Amino acid sequence: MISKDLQVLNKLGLHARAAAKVVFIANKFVSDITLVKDNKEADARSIMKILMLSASKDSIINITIDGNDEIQAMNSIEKLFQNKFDEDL
Amino acid sequence: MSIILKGLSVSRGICIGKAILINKDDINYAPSYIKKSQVKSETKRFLKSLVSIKEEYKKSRDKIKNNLPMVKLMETQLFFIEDQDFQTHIIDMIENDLYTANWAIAIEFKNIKKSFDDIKDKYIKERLIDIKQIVLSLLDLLQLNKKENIYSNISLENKLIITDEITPKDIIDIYQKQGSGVITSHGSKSSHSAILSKSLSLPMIVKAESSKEVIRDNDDIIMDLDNQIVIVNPDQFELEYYKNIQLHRNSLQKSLRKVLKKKSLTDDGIKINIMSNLELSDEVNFLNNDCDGVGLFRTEYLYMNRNDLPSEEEQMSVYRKVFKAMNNKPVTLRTLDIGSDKEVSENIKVGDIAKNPALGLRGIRYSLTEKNIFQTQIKAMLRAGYNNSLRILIPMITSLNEIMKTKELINNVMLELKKERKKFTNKYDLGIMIEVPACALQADELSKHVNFMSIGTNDLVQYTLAIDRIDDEVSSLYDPTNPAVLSLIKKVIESCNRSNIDVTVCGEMAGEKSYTKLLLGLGLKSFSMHPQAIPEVKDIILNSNINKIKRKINAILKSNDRLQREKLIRGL
Repeated sequence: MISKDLQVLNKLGLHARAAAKVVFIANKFVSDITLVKDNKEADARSIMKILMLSASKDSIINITIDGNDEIQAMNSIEKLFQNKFDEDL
Repeated sequence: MSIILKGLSVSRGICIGKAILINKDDINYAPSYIKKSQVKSETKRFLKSLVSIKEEYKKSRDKIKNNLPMVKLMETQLFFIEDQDFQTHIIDMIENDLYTANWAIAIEFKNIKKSFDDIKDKYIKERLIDIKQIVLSLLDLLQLNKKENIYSNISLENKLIITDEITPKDIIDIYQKQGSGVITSHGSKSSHSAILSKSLSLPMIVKAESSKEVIRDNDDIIMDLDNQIVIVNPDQFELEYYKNIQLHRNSLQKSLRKVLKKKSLTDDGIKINIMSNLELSDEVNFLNNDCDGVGLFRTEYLYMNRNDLPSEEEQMSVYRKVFKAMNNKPVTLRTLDIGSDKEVSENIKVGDIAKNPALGLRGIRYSLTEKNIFQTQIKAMLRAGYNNSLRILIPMITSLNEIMKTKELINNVMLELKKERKKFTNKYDLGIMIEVPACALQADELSKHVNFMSIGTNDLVQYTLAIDRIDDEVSSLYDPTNPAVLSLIKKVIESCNRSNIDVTVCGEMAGEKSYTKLLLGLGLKSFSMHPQAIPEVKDIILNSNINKIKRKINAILKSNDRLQREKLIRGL
C-alpha cells in the first residue's frame, strides 16, 4: 500500500470533468484507489463521491493505493494532478 | 385567521383562488417494497435500466460527435451512470432492505442531495442537476414514474399555483390549463417567466418568501398585486373588500377600452406607433384591431415543450397565423434567441455547458453556429411573408460582421427557395436588436446597413450595468433609468433618425407606464409592448405633450441620483 498527498492545481478544482478523468484512470488499474480530504473519503471509481469531496483549487488530497499495480497507478494519478487534469487553466 | 405574505408583483390587479402546491422536486419518495423472492428480478430490472440509459446516452453522444464540448459533457454523464458507489448502494437496499428499485434510487438521490448541500463550491454543487436528470430518466425507465408534465394531470381552473421557482415552460403549461395565478418563493420580476406571465396576463407574485411553508393545498388565497401581498385564508371582510375592488377594476378596464379606439396621437398631434409583443401565436387573437402591428414575435416558444425541432412547414403555418390575424400590418419575427434563462427543451441545450450563458452562445451567435436550424427558420419566415409585410429581427448583434453574415445567409436561403420553386417574399425589412452596449455605441454605422432597430431594454440594462436580473442579490441594482442606459437609448434613437430608419423599444420599459413620457422625451415614436399594457400606455401617450416633455429631459439625463431622477420622471 502506498500513499501520497497531491494538490489540486487547476482553477476550477476537482469538478465533474476533472473527476471523470480520475475515474477513467482508476478504472484502468486493478488496485483500490482512495481519495481523502477533510476526513471525507472517496473511492476513485465513484465520480459522485469525488465531487462530494468538494476539492477546490489548492486543496490537498491524500491518495492511497493498494494492489498489484499500485506504483503505476500512483504515477498516472500524480501526472494527472500535475497536468492540472489536462486543462489550460 | 388570515396570514399576509409580502412579495414582488409582476403585474397589477386582484386575483382570488384556491392554492395548489407544486413540488418541483418531482421524485416520488413514497416507500414501496418487494418480496424476498423478487430480489433477483428487481436487481436485474435495475441493472437493465442502467444499461439502456447508458445506450441512450451513447446514442445521443454519437449524434453530436462534431460538437466536442458536448461530447465531453456526455462522457462525463456516462461516468455518473456507471458510478460504482451509486450502483452498490442501490443493490444493497434491494437485497437487504427489500426496497423496490424505484424507492432505492429515490432514497439514494436524497442521500446524494444531502451531501451536495454541504458543498460550498457553486460550480461543483450544480452538478447535482446532472445526477438528478439521470435519476429521473432511470425512474422513467422503471416506468413507475412517467416523465409527464407536472401540470398535465391536474385541473388548474380557479387555482393559484404555489411553487419555489418556475420556468417559462411551466408558465405556458399553466396558462394553457387555465390556472388563475402563480406565486413563487424565489425568482425575479424581470425573468423571462415573469415577462411571459405578464404578457399572458397570468397574475404572478415572485419572491413571496415562505409561501411554500405557510400555504397548504386548497387554502383560499387573495393575490393583491397592487400592494404586492398574498393573503392566505382571508376572513369574510377581506374577501368582500377585494371582491368589490375586482368589480370596480372591471368597470375601469371597460372605460380604458375606449382609449383603444382613438388614434394614437399625442396631445401636440404627433403620431406614435403602438405595437404588440407576442410570445405565442394564440395570443394574436386577443389583440385589438387598433394596434399598429407586431413589434416583436418571440419564436423561442415554438422550440419549447418538445423533443424535436419545429419543421419549416410547421413554423410557416404559425407565422402565417400571425400575419393573417394582423391583416397586412407589419409583423416583426425575431429569430431564435436561446440561452440565458430561457429554458428550451432537450432538442437544444446551450446554457448547460456555458458557465455564463448570458455572455455565451445565444441569439445570432447560436444561429450562425447552428446554421441548419437558422436556415429552416429563415425559410419559414420568408415563405410566410409572401404578400405580407415581413420584418425579420436579429437578436444579440454585436458587430457589423454578424449583420453581413446574416444577410448573406438570407440571400442564400432565397436562392434555395427559388430553386425549390416555393413562393416567398423578396421584400422584407431586416432589423437588429439593440441589447449589447457595443451595438448601441455603433448605432450610427450599423443604422446604414439595416432597415430598423429594436431596443431590448432588459438586456441592454443587464449588459450595461453588469446586473444579472435573475440574481436576487443584485436585482435591486437593476435600474433602467441609469444615465448610461438612458444615453445609450438616446444615442440609438438619434442615429436611427439620422439614417431615417424605424426604431422601436420592445423591452419591458415600453410597457411600463411610468417610463412612457421619458421615452417620448428621448425621441421615441414607436413602442412595442405586451398587449395587456397597451390601454394604460396609450392613455398616457394621448395626454402627452412632447414639446413640453423635451424641455425637461436634459435635467433627467444629467441627474446622478436615482431617487431624484425618479422624481423628475414622475414629474414629466
